[in-house]
Amino acid sequence: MKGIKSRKIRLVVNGHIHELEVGGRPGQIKPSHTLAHTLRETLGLTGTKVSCDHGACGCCTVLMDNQAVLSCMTLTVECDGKKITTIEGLKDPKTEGLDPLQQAFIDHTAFQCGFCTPGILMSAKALLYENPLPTEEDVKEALSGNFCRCISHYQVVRAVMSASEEVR
Amino acid sequence: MANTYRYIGKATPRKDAADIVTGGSRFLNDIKMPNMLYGKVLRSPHAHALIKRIDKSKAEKLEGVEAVLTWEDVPDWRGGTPRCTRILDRKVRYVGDAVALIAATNEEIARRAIGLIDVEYEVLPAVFEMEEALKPDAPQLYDEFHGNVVTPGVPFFGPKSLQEVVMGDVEKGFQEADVITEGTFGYENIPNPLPPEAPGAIALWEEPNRVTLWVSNQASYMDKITLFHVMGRKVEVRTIGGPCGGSYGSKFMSWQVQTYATLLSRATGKPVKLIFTKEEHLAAFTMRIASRMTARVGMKRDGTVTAVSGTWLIDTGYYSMTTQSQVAVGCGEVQIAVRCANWDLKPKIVCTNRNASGIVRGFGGQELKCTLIPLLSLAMEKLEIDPFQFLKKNFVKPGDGYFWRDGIWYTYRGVDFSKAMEGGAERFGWGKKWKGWLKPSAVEGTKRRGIGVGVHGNADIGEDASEAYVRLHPDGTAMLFSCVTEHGTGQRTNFVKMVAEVLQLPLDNVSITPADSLINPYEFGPAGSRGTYAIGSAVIAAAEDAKRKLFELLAPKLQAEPSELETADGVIFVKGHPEKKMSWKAMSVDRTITGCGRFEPDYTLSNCMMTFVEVEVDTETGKVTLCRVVNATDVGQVIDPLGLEGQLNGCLGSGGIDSALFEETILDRSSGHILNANMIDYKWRTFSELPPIDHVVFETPIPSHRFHAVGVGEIATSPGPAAVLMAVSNAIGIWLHEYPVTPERVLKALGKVRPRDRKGGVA
Amino acid sequence: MRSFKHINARTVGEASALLKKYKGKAMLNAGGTELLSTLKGEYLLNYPEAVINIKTLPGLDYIKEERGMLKIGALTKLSDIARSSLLRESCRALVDATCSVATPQIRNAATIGGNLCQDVRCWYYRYPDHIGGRILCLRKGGKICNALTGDHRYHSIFGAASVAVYPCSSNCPAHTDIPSFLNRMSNGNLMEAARVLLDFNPMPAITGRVCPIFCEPECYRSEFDEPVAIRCVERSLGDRILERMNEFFTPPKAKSGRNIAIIGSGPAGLTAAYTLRRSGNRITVFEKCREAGGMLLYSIPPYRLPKDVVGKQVQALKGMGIKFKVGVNVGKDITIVELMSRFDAVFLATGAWKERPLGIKGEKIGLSGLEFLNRVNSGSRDLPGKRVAVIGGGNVAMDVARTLLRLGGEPVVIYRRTQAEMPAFRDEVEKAKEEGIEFEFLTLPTEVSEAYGKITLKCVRMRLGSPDASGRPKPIPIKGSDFTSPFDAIIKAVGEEPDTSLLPATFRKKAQKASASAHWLGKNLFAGGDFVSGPSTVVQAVASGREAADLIERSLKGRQPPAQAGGIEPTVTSASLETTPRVRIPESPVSERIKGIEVEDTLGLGLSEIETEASRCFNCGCIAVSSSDIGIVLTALDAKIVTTKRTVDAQSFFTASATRSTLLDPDEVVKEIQIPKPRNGAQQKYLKYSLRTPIDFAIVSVASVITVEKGVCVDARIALGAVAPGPVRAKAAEEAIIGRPVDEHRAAEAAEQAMAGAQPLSMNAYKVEIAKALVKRAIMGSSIN
Repeated sequence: MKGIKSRKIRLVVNGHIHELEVGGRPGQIKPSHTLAHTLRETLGLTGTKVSCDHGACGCCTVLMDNQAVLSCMTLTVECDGKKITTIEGLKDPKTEGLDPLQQAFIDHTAFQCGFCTPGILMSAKALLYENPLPTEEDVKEALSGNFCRCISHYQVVRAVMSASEEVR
Repeated sequence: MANTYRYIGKATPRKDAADIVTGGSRFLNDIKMPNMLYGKVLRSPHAHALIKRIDKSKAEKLEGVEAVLTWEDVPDWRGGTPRCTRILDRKVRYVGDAVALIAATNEEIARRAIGLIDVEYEVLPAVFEMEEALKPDAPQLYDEFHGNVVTPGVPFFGPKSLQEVVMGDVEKGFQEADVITEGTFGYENIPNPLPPEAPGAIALWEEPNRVTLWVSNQASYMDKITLFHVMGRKVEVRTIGGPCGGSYGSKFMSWQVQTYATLLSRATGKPVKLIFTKEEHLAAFTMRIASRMTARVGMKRDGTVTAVSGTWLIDTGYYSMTTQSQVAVGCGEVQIAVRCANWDLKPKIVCTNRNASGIVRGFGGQELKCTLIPLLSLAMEKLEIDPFQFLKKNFVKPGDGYFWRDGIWYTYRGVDFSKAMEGGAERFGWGKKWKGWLKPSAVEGTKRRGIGVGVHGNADIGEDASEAYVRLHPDGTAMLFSCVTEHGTGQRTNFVKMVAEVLQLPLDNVSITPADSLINPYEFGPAGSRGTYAIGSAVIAAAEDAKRKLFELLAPKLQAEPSELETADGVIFVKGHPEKKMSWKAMSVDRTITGCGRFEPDYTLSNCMMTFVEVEVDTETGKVTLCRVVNATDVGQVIDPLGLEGQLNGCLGSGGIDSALFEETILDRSSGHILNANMIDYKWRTFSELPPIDHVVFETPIPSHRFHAVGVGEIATSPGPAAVLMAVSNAIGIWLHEYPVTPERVLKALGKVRPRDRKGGVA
Repeated sequence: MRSFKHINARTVGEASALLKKYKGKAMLNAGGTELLSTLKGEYLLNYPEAVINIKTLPGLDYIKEERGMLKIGALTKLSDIARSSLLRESCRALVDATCSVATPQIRNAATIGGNLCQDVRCWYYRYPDHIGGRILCLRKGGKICNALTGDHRYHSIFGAASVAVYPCSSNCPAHTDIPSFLNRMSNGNLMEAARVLLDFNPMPAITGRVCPIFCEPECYRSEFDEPVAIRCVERSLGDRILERMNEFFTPPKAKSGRNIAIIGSGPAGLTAAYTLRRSGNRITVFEKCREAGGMLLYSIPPYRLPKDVVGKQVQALKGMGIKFKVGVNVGKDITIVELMSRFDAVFLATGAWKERPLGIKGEKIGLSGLEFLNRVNSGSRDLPGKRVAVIGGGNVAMDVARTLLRLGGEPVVIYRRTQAEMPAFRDEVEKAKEEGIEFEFLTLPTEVSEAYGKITLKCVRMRLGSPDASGRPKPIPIKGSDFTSPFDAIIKAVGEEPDTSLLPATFRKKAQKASASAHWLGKNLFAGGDFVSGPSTVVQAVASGREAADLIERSLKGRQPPAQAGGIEPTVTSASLETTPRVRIPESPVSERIKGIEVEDTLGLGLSEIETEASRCFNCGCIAVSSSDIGIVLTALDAKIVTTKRTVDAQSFFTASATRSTLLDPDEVVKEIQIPKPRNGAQQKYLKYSLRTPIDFAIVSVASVITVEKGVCVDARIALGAVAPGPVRAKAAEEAIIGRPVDEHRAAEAAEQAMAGAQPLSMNAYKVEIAKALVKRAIMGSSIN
């Protein structure tokens, strides 16, 4: 079967190209590895968090070609050629400065324990890519797949709105 | 009153903010070590069984497996209060109980190894209901707990540890009453606080008797102490706490997962990481206790409670580490919420074959209020007493007193919270909306609105001891030594703010040590809203002490008395003469100055939270929507407004208000399986469903510490559920007696779903 | 996750071929969420060897309109559907349903095809392996649907997906569709219940009394508390059928023009007569005795089966136009060959009446058990003697002994093995012992002698050895243990066999070949019942009679008779966390029943009692619900689903069994969704009731497409979700509004009708109310809130 032969996966993660071999040895990608696993365990990008590991909480949200997807529900072998952005890649690649969204989260203390924050930030970022001027309802809808148990929601919505206002 | 503080009460960014928003925070599962092994737990399929035989040979042969431990392999370490629960036992007591521990080179192998362990069980009858468990012929969970009743008496609360609320003469009290009501309410939905980060630990054992544990907990120093006792006082424990991905009380202690990791490291000599899956978190970790109260209440027309007499049943699940403490504190808290001279309230803690309960935000008090407030409401209803007025009138006032958890009578010396309560009522519009008991506040088509109110207060804000050091450096920086982890409250930053305020240093010049038990002094941990008052007092005292030492050292150089000195931004100067100054460098570069602070327990203050809610009930579908929440409190002095707002918003999460609406752990009462051990079936509030929320925060200086503040974070969740039950009952005109108010319960109460007749259909 | 092989499929054909190659050990990945949840939870028994990624298939993600048909490629992402302006304009309900699926992140990955193929929602089914082990529910080959006895707040209120084989029915010799008639009975629908039962068995009043109960020991309810008292329900229902025989036993409308002769009017003969008469044949039953009924009348004693019941049964059959010729001894009065020439077919069911010999000296002194019963059943009340030895351990021996007792005798049952090996029904033996009948086990008669009116029986004691051919331990005489006992009479009942002497020699050999089922003996001669099987049970004879009737029909018509069962999906009737006690079957006290042979020992129940007992039936189906929001809305939109093998309508796509959630074959792949473009102005709704928005599955959902012109509804399609194993069309609600002006009152009425057939369980009745509200709101065009 030809399909099996494509044994190298090419990922662009936060602007860096990674060519990953498929196989069972350490450092290789197993077919059963999720994108979250690859990011955290293979590439050491532990900013992406895994909470429920079943696609219900949004903690593991990353951007795939600028769309929010769940890295725990994505097989790495199926990401060949994709552009992935994680929380570590949210900073401006040139200036290393914080994204306005990140700064807004700091300014509004839009987190409590901070565990779910990377996922929330990535979902919010995906929203702003698609809709730079969202309404509050748009923000809530875009973040409706993100679990936060401390209830940082109100401050998050304010932070996202203020980040988008900068665009306005 | 204008805020004259430099930081206190001002919005400042959290010290850890940049790490959090860039993914730089290193949570427990982000830590990797060379040679690290991964641990897994084989869990019981039976709710109650004896292990007849375990064959682990196949699992041990699997490549990559380095240890398989069963009850036969582990030392007799025990948890629970009293200490009866073995880490691994020959008996399993709930579906999910640990049967074997596995360490392997990766998680996949560890999980496969689980499937290779062959266990033969002798299944025993199980019991899932408190009343059933108390019957004489009920299955017995422990030899030590006769009749499945946990032996009362919390050793660390002293010889008089509070076990019940008994005082005055209830018979006389009932005779004085204008009305006597009786009822039963159950808060038995055992909601899960469900922090996003699952419980876990990394352990590294060093022979012969030392273990270092990386923990993700609320109280890393207490982990050291708990584990020391669990491990038979023979192991030297060091705990290192990092950021904690949510706790809400539940990760105040995680002794089981910590001992699992320790035992596996002890068996392999390698660091072992054991992190629960979310399913384990939901089905095999601790959750809220279940509570059912049956009581008679005597009340006078003026809202004076003349007598309360009844039983409080508490289902603690298969073991109890802290339930007795929760009951002790709860028993104290009822006296803070309700001024009454005659009490006969008897708690009973029952063991059943479900997973264990543990600490959750509210710590006994929430569970108790959820049943007590409705019980009082039955009497208020008869006498047509406005519940807001009632709760305001009966909440503890200066000069009142109560027996606290240690069984000692304390006289309350805090503030009168009536003003804050009135502020909340006004913001909510209580006066206009209140139409009387079991009357909706508004009706529109099939929708009926209802309002409710609840209250909670806790004298544990001054519980237990805290110690802190503040070390001053000649470069004008200070370091706070405090064994506090960051679990979302922002307290690590707040303590830095307190130090910076005392020392008048830029925030960036004050740091705080990692929550490592090796370098820090004793710390009970931020719990029970004690952070601000108890830990804060120790921190402030340490900073003051350091400052005093600094002034003593440098006063001669400035030719002044220490008492004449002041400091700011690393410069010491004579009060009123800012030109007479010198830099901290003057202390000499080869010196640091360390101040020590200690806080001794003080139960003479209480915090207070009143929550008003408005709900809308769709009488056709039974759907209950939370329309509005107003929290009212008096904190004495805000430390961090955004942090405080976050804490108060937290009333919706972590098994709080929503435990009255839709949060519950669903136990299959025929087999003991928890059915909704996943985050789809376990319901939680999403971004799409945020009700308008308002916080009315008063700042009446409280005689606590230098900043006159008390914490309120913990109790934000506590008054809400009872308020929701009241609101829904008012909306539909019928009392609901159980939490949460599911569509089924609402429709049943409305008579739309009748009890099934024997034929199977709906009558 | 455990390892698997991963293959990117390049074409649909390749995906299908791979599925075939892996023989059920491969899974498709069309989105990821469902697949990865399944793999991580390891809740299925088999972990796949391979995952076939079909997201790579080119050309399957499109949304287009062709000749009034909206076409959506199976691999179109849900987020693209949500964004599609074409669909937003023309197919709002689909867009709304799509937006209600899971979370924004999941909608960015999930495909419409994947959504349709997702497995059912049930927390028992999906209970993960690693927190105590997966739950082996019915869908995974377990015995019962755990939700029936557990927490089913979110489960079906419209019945269960059926299992292929019901344990009770499959163990019943007549294969009676037990869940089906119990279900109808539990709803108080006696007529329907009776019709189902009579399809399998024309004499439930009789089998309900004398059947040894093959079904109840298999009943899965006993896993929970106690088996359903099936026989008792059957008997009580049977009595009511006989009371109203004119309604149930009517002459056939169609006429076949054929004549069929039946020899013997026992259960096999009567059943064959009934079955063949129903299909329009003229039937003549020949009976040698004075009355029809065969062994029902002449062998089974009246305390077990009252004669008037048999009488009524025969009367009922006569009412259908079956002719009975009694007192005709075929073989003597008329030959079989003659009958064969006069009738189109002849069915021989003369039973097994020939007593087997004991093979001992003096046995002629002993009477035949069957003869004795026959005499008593014919009216004689004479005792052959006071103290009577009854030799044998079968049902005839028990009937003889208990009859003797009731006539004032003192029977002693002599059996060569122990009670455990007795071939008689356990229940009969128990009753005999209860009544005080004496048993001599491990005793073999060796000689009978008579002197001066006194009979002496010589016996030897036995011990049990290793099993013999019958599987029972072989009795071995103990040397020197001989003894003698005096008796007034001896009755032999060691077994019976058919008398084949009436057959022409050419057929005799074939008839002697032992078989449990009906037989074709040659030409137009058929045989069945005990005549071919040897002594068995009434229900086995019934089964044999029906089988013979089928055989005869087939031979005469040359084709399969129409299917027997009602064809209605069984539905769940009851489930409760509380154990409900099995009904107490009333029995006459021992002191009463031994007073006479006419006193029936087991009694029937009242209607409400049997309804209650019937409602204890689990129906042994799976009550998980289909979770696909898209599937519900496609049902309302009258969409078609195109697979690699067929094009089916959306609702049928989900019509599946308790082990499958869709009708897809193991190697079948969904390719396209086709939606007839809803007419302009049609009001489309998708109302989803869940505890949360989003990340939640519906507790109830309603999809509707309703066209109202000038205030009158001209077209309506309404589908309900999460209320049944698949989407449910609310046809009654549609009918209630089509052609009528739509107002609040009418909508409420339609909503009531939509739920008329609901059968909620103990914990999910609230869903009925929610569904009503949603249907009403959908019709009124309002939103869920």
